[in-house]
Amino acid sequence: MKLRTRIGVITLALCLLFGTALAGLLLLRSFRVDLSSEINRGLTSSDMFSASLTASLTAFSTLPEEDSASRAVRLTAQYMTDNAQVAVADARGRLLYDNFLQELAPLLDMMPAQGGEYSIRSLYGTPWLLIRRGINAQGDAYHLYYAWPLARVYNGARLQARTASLLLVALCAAMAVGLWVALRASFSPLRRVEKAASGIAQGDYDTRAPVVHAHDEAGQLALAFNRMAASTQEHVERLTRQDAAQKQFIADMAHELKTPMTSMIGYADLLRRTQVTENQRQEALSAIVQQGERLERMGTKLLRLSGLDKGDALTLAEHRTDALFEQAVQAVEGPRAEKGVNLLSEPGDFHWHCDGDLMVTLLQNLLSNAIRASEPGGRVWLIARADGLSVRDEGCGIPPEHLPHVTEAFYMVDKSRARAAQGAGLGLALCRRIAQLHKARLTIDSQPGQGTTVSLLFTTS
Amino acid sequence: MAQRVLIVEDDSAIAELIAMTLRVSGCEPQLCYDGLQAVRLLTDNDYDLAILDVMLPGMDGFELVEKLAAQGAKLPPILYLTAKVDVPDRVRGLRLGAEDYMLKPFHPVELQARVDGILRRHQRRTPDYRALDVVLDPDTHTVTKAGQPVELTPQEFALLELLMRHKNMALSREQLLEAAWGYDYLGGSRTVDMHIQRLRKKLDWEKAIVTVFKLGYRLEAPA
Repeated sequence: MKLRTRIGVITLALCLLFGTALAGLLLLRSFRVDLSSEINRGLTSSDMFSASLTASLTAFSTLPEEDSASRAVRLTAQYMTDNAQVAVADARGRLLYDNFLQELAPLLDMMPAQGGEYSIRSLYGTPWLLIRRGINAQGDAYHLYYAWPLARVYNGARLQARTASLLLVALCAAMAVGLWVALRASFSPLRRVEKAASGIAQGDYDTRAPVVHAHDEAGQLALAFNRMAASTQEHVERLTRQDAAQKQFIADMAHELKTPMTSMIGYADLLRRTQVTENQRQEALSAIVQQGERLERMGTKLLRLSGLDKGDALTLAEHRTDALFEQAVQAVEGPRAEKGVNLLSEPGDFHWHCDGDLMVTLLQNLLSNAIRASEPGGRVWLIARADGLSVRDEGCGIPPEHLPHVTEAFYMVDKSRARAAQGAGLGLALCRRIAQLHKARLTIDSQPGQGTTVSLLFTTS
Repeated sequence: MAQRVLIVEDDSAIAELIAMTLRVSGCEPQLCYDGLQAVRLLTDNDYDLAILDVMLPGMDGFELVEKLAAQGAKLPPILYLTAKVDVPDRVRGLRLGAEDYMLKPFHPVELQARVDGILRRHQRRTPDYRALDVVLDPDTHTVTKAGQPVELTPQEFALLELLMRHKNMALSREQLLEAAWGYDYLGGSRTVDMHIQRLRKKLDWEKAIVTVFKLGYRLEAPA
């Protein structure tokens, strides 16, 4: 059963219960009042009759006639009787008078046993007040039987009860309609929250619950729900982005692995299947070696990158910049000399708190990028500051549309050129990761045709 | 008259590999490393075949063909070569009228077979079933050596046909077995060796059919 229905039914049942009890109590009370006043009327009427009868009997007792008592009774009854059925008997129980209708005669047998008492008895479903009185007139005892009808009181009460229950039923019906409307209106914000929740369950993370009254419980619920929905949506979107990045990484890696494989397998197959000239054989073999080396470099960098991602601990220590710079410069000496680039190193006299090996890797990658971008005879600067460093070249530069992507793994501005220059597209991704681990920022400024400056800025050191 | 083939591939190692493979089968390859240069070459020259990489600097392989087709240039048959495995890409290439599609990494024999197939379909090459003094006629199913007919079993004929089609290129025992007996033949590769022995005897080709260590056989004859 719905909560709304349950609240409605309970409210209605309680109203019905208390309404019935209240109406019953009121009706009972008014019935009692009516009944006692009617009994009083009956008693008063019998008193008056009894008094008149006593007076008549006393007056008639002086007469000599045998039936003087009967005459006195008849005379009194003639003037005094109103609604009552009256009977009078003498001391021996002989009926002197009765005006009981024939069908009411059984009432006489129901009369109270002693005089001065009364009782309420019912005949054919109609209630009667039965009174018995003893009368003394000049030494003679008489019995007065008096039956007073109470049907009016009982019928009145019954009518009132019926009216009251009809009224109660009508009231309840009206209340049911009112409750239905009111509860429906109060519960509709909840229903909308529920609808929003099922929207989210179906993967529609944009769904929000409307907030009608911000301060009631439903409004608070809707607000809380919307906060939850927003954080869930954010979470899901982040996971989706991460997942997409991961997939892209794997797809790129597969492509980068496949390309050198193509030439290695192709050349090897050609060598074993055909008789080639000595020149061709040399060419094929050196292609195989070069591509193998390229794969090896890529493997090394990937391993490094995944090690850093796994959170291999940094070995932080104080390092002198001149020692770090010297190691990096030596590492790129081969390609530098081959291309004839001038490398100007200005280590200054600084101490950095960093992981020495990683810092040399970073410097080496930045330097070899700069050398690769430079023309033969070009210049590359490596300059240290207390809070960072910069590597500047006068090479080909990076077109602005590529700039935001160059630190993504496997991103290459010019694939054929980068490959010819032996790049794997992982160098800057590695640098960015190393910078992140040192809480440093890596920024790249570049003007196509004029050169590139890569800066590293330690944010806390 | 060697067939002129344009190779458009940005990875020079792979471009060289394709060129080397095509030279073995008697084509005359020309190398080109980017899309824009390829457009110029295709507009100015008449090639028998173009082998295009899809991912190219300047302009990708699909754009290139679309552009040339829009200009109304007369295009040679096209063989796309790419590492991309997506089906939509392949469909796009074939819709643009590509003759064939090849995925990297590829084997030289496969490339050679496909190039051969395309050239023959376009009648740019009649299969050369001559080697030394032996001539094979696939239509009449006859083989002559120095004008004298040689009796061959159907398997020997099939082996000879494959060897002549891939002159100077070693064929593996599996490839030979498949060509002469079909996929579901259960005999081992020793069967191939026996039939090759008989072929050598019948044609007096003890030297021309060379055994390639651990691989199979190669027919050595001037292209």
